[in-house]
Amino acid sequence: MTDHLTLDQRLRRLDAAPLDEAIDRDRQSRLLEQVLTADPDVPVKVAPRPLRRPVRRVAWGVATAMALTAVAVALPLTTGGQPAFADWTEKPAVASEQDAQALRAACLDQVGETVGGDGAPRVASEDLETRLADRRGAWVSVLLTWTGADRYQFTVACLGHLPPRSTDEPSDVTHALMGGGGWAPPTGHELAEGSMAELSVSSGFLGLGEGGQAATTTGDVGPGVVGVTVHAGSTTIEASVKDGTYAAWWPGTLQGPTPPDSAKGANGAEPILRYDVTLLDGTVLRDVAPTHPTERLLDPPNGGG
Amino acid sequence: MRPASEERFRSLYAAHYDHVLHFARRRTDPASAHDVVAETFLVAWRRLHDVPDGVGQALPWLYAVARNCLLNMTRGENRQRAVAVRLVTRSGIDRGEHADSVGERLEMADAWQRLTPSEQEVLALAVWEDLTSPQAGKVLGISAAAYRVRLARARRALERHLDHSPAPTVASAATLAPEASS
Repeated sequence: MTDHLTLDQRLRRLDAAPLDEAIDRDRQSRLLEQVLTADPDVPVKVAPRPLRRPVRRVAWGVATAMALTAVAVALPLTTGGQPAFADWTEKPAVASEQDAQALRAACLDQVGETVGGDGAPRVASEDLETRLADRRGAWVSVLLTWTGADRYQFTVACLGHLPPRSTDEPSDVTHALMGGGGWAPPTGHELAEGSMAELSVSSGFLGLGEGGQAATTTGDVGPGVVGVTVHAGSTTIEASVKDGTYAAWWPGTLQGPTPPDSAKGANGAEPILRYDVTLLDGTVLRDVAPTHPTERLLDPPNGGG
Repeated sequence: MRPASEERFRSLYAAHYDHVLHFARRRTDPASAHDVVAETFLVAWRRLHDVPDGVGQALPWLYAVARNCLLNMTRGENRQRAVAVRLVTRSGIDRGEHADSVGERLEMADAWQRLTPSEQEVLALAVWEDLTSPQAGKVLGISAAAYRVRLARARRALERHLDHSPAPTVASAATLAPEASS
């Protein structure tokens, strides 16, 4: 039998982080300044999200498009050609029901019990529907959506590493949560450009450390469209399309495989992405001009406005 | 002139950065520990009005946030409800020590590994974070009395494992936290 004091003394000698351990004070100072530049008025949840990297949202450019949160998590640290995405494919493959369910569960675990609030609808995460699921190499993505009566929509784009036939849980799961709405759905051959996000693949929070990036976008198409090809700089991506929704992701930035020199184009002055759409009869319309959601606002219920 | 809120946060950060970093380092690898520290203080900055300013109250609040970060880091993999606590690495144990001392520490390390993460957690808060029962209870979201009960159980469990500990081996030492560079 060992008395408590002796037990504690023995344990103290096995401290994995003794107080006399050297601390990088430069890093401490850098972090302080970076935290202080964060907006203190932006609410955060009581339970902080793990390993969530900042996501640079590209706004829809109009007030009614409301960004709720955009978070990304722990993509593998990569350099140069981003070897984590080495087997990424331009064309999506079918994700098995089991893989889609596994990623959905992991993603919702990160999202928390609800989304929205603070003026937006508050929705139970379990009510988000799995709208799309696909596989690109060892990565599976799912798009979760919830659409209210006024077409206010929450979209969660989830990405996780889950090799084919793996029985493990998805790893390196990341997601971007976006919200907005009130617009009419596209018609005919239209493509309504939706939200976009860049997922920072860094080795630390707040942009500390080295890393790479992935980008994702989603939007709506009219009933006459069965295929969407996205051009992000020199990268071509065949989007997944189902029931009037498309989604795509790719390694790199929204403007291609390497970070752009400037944010030019991100303000709507120039198109960030270009689109080809495939119609029901197989016709391909190249470089179509996307519509933007709030160009087609729904009439308010009283018919005014 | 800096706003009062910024001054308060700077004081909070200066006073507790080391403690939060050590708290995280005991529970995860060095790179992830810095992530946890960053997230913890970002939450503290954004919720500064929620950070208690009484004596000895801010640090348990920060630890609770850091613990949530750590739980969330692994939640997707195995739904943990407690954070396992690491011990010094094997190389840290046997570096320049007498064989008897090394054996004793390996025995303790072996017993520690046989504790549940919950047991490790309550012990660590008392032994390494040096918290009182009310403070540790705040970190875990339980009452001081409940914490004391858990602490007593954890100590008994560790003693039991020590009493029945097999002779330490290299294999058992290998279960200690792997060394990683920050």
